[in-house]
Amino acid sequence: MPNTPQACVEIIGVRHFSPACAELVRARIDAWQPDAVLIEGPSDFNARIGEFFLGHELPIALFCFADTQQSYAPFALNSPEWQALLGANAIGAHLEFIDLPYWHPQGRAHAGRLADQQASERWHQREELLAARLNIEGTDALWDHLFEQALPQDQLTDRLSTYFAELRAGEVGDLSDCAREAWMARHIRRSSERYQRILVICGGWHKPVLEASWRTAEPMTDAISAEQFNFQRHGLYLIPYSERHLESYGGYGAGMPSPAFYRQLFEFGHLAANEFAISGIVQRLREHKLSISTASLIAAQSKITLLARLRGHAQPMRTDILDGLLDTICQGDLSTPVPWTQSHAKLTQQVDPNVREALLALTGQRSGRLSHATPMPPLVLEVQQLLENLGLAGKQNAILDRRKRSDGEKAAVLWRLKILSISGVQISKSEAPGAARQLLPDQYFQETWALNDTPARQVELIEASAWGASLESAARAHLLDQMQRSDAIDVLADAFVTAVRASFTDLQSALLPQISAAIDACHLHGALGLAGTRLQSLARLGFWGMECSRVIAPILRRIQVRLLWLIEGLSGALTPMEQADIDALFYLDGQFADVAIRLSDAEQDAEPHSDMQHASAVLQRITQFAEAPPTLRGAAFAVLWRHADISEIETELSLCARSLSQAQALGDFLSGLFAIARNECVRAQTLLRALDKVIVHMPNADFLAGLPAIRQAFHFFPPRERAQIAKTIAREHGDENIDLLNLAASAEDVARAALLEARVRHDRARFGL
Amino acid sequence: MAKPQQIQRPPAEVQHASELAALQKSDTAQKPPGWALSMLAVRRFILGDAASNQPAKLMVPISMIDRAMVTLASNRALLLVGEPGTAKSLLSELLAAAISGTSTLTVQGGAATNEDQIKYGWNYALLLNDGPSPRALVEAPILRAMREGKIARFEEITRCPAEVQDGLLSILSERVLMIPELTGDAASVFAKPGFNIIATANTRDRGVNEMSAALKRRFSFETVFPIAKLEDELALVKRESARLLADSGVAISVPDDVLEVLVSSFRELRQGLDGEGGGMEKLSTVLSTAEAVSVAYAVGLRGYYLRNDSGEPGDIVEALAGTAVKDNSEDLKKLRRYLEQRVSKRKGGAWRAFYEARHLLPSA
Repeated sequence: MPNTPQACVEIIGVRHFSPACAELVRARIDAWQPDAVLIEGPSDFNARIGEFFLGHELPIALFCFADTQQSYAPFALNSPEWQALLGANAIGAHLEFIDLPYWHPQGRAHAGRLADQQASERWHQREELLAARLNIEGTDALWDHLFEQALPQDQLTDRLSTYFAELRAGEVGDLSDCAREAWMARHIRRSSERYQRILVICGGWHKPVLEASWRTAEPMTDAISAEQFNFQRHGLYLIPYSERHLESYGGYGAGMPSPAFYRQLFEFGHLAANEFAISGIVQRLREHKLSISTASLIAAQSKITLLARLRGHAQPMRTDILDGLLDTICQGDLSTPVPWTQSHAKLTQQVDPNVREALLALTGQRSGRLSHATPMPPLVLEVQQLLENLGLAGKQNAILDRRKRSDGEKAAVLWRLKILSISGVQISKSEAPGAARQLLPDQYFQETWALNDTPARQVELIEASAWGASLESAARAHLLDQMQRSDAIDVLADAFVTAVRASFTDLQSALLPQISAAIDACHLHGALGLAGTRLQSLARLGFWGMECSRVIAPILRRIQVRLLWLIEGLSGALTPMEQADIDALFYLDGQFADVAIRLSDAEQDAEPHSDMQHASAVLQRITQFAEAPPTLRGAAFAVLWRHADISEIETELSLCARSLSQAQALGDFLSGLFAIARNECVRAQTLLRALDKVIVHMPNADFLAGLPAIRQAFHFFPPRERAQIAKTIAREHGDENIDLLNLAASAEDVARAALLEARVRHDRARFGL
Repeated sequence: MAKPQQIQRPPAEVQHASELAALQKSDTAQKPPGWALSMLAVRRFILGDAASNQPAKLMVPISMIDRAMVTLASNRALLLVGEPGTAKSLLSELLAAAISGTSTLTVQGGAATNEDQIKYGWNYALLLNDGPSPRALVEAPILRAMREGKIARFEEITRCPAEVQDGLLSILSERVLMIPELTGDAASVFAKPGFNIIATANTRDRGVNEMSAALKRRFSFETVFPIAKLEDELALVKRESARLLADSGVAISVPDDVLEVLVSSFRELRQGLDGEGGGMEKLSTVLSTAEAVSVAYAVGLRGYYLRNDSGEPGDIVEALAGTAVKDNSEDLKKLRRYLEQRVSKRKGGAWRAFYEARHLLPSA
């Protein structure tokens, strides 16, 4: 048992980015002048801790990576950790990071366990309970109410201790908490043997445990190093960061909302921050052409004051301002509740556009910049090396064949650079010389790239390294971020194809929620069908040696469910032909075909089978629904005919064709049918006979009205098949020797006719007909 | 004051008279001019008080009550908007009862509402006899509210013709009502402190009588949303349907699994999202919590009187067809699609029974 240390250790538990905590830390260092300041941060950076003081523009982040995993520790002006760094440096105190190095496996072994999830649920529940007791909505408002008001320092310290002790409530924490706390305690213990007055800055969650445990901890030794864990790569770098990344509404869990607002609050105090918020919001909304009158601003101002008073705030807090301005911002009813009244809210596309803009005004647009003396992030060197190794450095252009493995590697690198918007990397075209006509552009294998090594590239790569330590991880993170900002299914399908071209075949788990949401929000069955067909062909054929089906299968299934929902809702017996109906059913046709192949491969998977049964039930209902659009109905028949085991479907189909009263509807019906079941129809005697009967008995006027639609339908057959059909019909009418493929005219006549037609076309174009 | 038990539905200030009196007695915080209670006490009245075990009278967000009270204390009027059945009227009633001690200064908006009903009319016998005089004046709720410094309620304001709505313009901006027929002091009524208006409007009525921009500017909009959490809504439907059944002498309560099917399907059809997060179309018919309560009530009644049980999922289908979907054939189709494509895949006895009963929907 080591001696009980004599040193005086003071631990301040903070919330990251809290202005009040930052101020507390700054003032405490000034007043107490500690010999050592210990900060929760990766301890393998200690040797390079001086890099923080090279004169950067904030926000910056300490970026840690180990193999494929990575994490950021951002620093803004209002970070307590940043103030601790500055303060300690100014008074010359010993400065040390005391957290586990990022490469340490225990530090990353968190979550996943059920017990951990329940613990965090309990923690959230305690927060919610406290908020409800104080009549406050949302945890952010609770934090502001308790801590961000101007408070005397000792009172603030007391409150923070009580709050975090209540939150922790004796919980053990998850695996990573335990490992990190043990590590930090050992650091504190070691320092306590060397220094007299020690100030520790750590997350408030850890404070109760550290306080209880550091005295009895084993002092830290430097026995452990990353080499023991066999990483291919690991390291830490400073990178520039931006306020947008700090925003908790944007998905950064440890952040606070509205970073720019809290920066103002820390720097200039309540009055200035509130002014900044109001004028920022109003200015931004006026830029978006929303009229905000002076009268309504005056009303809002008095509302803000009243709300603050009602809630017991000496100065209006952030939520008071937003609540007071709400009426001015929105001027009407809202579609969803506002984010600031909810705990752990995100700024999604569903949030009212004006509310969104108002909140973005508080996010701020500052981006950090590193001093020139900062060591370069690994991404810059990696890209240089990759381009040299692949023989792409200094080249003006490259023609790459994705069928070759070596070219595939090069293309993946170029695509990843393109994803990061690095200038001087452009794809000029992709094509597939000599390939089958059915090959979709997504699978074209020959890519032509235009390359140009600009001086901007290095700067852009430094900025891009905020996304990741390696080209692979940075491009991946950036692509995911882009996808998260769109909810259009065609854009997402594009991005997916880009991901495949950049050789990311494992984006599934990260993408699935996003794409699923887009699919569910999509109301255009045609767009959904087209996007689905693209992905279907990727799943079916892969991309030149890359297997994609496992990744895409859940998406395809989701599209199918959504499409079935949408098409069963369509109605309008007189709707003219829509390409969208055909696109949607074409996709379903592909789904049936794929499942049939998979089932014949003896993959005994019951789920796709029952899915297809469900699909065929929906299609059958559509075929029987007299109000369905004729094209859709025809196409539904076509899919069933090709894939479902239904007896007498041809008869049923013929009956349906005969029941269509209008010639135009008949034409549209046939378009849907022929577009998908061309092969089946050429040989279908019953159907052709029934159609013949319908048309023969049609009054002339009707026939003429419907002729364009009927002609359009038969265009789905190539001339040879059309001739075959015509022959069948002619035989029905007793004409055995009809010859439709040879024209009874001389070549000269044909040429003259072509000339005449060309002239007519020209004149029509000239007169705008 | 009328005795509560003799009235079918007593107004909030009568129903909660003792609670209001107790609040008033213990209320030490500062009150806005003309208010019977302080804002803190009003908040406690509506949202309940965990310390004294007082349940909330309404499930609404705290911040909304805060904003609403502050609006009422300012020079703007309050407009509660939202889907039908989100308890806007109840909220306005509770606010008025707590702030002014009366919730009965109410104008019910509708196509037939005219200016007399919001400002003043005349007692024609006296008018012919005496000529225009304060004695012959018949004060409408808004004029009375102005004179007494109370909150007036204007229900379904967007159902009124635009010219009637615009009658509120000068009342809301100058806070004075002119009576040109009278002379002297009686010719103008200045609003006393405490006067304000709470109006309610349905988002479904949008476009029927669109409010003018000038009037909109004098109102603060507050959107009332359906209850956010499934558990809360389920508990409310359970409690309210049991109360209604007990009131009509039916000694059963609808089984929990049936209620869960009912409330979940209402929520899914209302939000256009199924339980697995898949997308659907929202019904255009209102599927409010109030509607869910009445469907649950109907399910209980059917079970009790027709089969002598406590209601089964099949009853929901019939009740939905009759009460919720009403005569909208598009919605009927959506509902059928929901049953065929979504409910068909659910496991669990009540869901299966719900699905099996789909033939009970009327054919389109």
